[in-house]
Amino acid sequence: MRARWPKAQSLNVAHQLLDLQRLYPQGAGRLVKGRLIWRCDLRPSAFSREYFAEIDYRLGSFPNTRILKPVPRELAGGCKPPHVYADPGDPLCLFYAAAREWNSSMLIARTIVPWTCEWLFHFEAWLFTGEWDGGGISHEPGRQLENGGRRRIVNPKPS
Amino acid sequence: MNTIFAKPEGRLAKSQIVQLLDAVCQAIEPTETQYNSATERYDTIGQFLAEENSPLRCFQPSVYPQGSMRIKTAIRPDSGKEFDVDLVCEFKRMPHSDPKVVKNLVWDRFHNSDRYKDMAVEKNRCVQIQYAGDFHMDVMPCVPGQPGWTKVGAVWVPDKKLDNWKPSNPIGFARFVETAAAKRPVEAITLSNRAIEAKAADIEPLEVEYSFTKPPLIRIIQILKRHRDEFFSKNHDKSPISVIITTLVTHSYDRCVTSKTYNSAYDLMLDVIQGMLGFINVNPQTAEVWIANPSHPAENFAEKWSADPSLAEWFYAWHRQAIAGIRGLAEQDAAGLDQVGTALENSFGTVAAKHAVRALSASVRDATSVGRVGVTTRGLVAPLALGVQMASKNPPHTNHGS
Repeated sequence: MRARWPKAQSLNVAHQLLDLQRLYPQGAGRLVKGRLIWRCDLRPSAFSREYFAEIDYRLGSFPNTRILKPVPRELAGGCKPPHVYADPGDPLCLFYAAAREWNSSMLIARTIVPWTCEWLFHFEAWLFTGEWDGGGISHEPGRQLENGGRRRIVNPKPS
Repeated sequence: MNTIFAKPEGRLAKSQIVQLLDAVCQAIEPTETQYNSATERYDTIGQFLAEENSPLRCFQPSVYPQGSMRIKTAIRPDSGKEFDVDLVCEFKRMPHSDPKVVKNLVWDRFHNSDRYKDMAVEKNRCVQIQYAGDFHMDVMPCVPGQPGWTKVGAVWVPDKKLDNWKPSNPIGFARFVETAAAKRPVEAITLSNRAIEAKAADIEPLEVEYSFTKPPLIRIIQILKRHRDEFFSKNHDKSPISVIITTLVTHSYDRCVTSKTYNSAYDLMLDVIQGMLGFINVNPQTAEVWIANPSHPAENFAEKWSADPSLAEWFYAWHRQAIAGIRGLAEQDAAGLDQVGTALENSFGTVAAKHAVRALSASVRDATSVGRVGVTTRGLVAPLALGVQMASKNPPHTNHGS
């Protein structure tokens, strides 16, 4: 008989909130009818602004992460930042859903939040350089961003 | 003004500034390929001067690099992309006692050849060979210094303007820099302890305290030369010559690493730059400024400063600005990594600044992809090896979306 891995257990939103509060005590969250809304100040580097981020999560869907203040699009002079979905509030594209990089058995505080911080770090670099060096894949089929792919070790060369 | 070093993440900030400045240097220095290509070309020139049918052959010429190409502090000039490669053509046997004759021997050799005649230009102390779009090779003829004149290793160079021999010591000067550069800074106790802890935890301490990828002395010289080029971009005439910067930084570095300990390459860098001024001698009677050539103390690198006192004023103004520029990187008071980029741009130019910020961004991406990054409870993205309390590791992932 073929061995089968048990299906990963989904974590409920209360569990998620507890873990968020424990790891990032300055944040604040609430549960509304099975929906988790958590907000937190995050500063991705000593050089960075402090950002106010919001994660909105309902079991059965993917967490929706937005930066409420300062608004990235405003910092970018009205330009759409890289790696955001075309939805109101520019939700961040933090993982590759098709590759199952995130599922509901994972803790948001240990995946989505660090990914958000890293996104902010690369976003500030992008504001200056105009190039996204955080890696990743474009939405457009078959198009890979330059230096993309998380396993490739590529350093940009001086132009 | 607030400095970000007051905060717990100060150590990471310092190492990131060093990382940015290191990337600035990488963007502006000759590549390995360019160094190799320069070496190939001066070898060819050396063979050309010494080959069988060459009239110079009997004087045993040997061609070797001097200056920034020799000590690896070369940077690309601001204006274009051509490097200056300074070469020495030393005759082991004295061709003639008249400097003009010796200079002309070399000039004629280039000028009469099909290969070099269109590339050769005569200068005061050298013959310049121009490789379009790549670099200039300045070939400085010289003969061994005579006993009693200067110390061992010294040479005499024909000087067209002086119409005489001028003493020089290119190898002695390079040794002065190389000897100091080989001395590594002593880390403060706290750092050593952390390095040992890191080793015990099987983490490479180098990633914690990001240091320069070349000897710190070489990097500091390059950073200051570049800062000077930007500062004097519209005022070349007042710019301090590279050998003054190199000499003062080397003295200061030597004193710093032999008398103090440092927690970071950043602290070392600032201390070295601040200490440079201590090696400028001013005669209290005449107010003459004297920056001695360490390999030939009778030569004053600041000779021109006596004729034009504004050169000294410009030097001090630039020096203050260089310190302010480097300090300013840490004094953005949390304005954003993009603002640090702008500050870098003001000090070191657009291309170098963009390269540096891209390299920092890419290094975080690469460290994340191998699981070596975490975030603190405040959201700070930091290498796990930093030893700071992390809220979470940052698992590898793929940013999706356009």
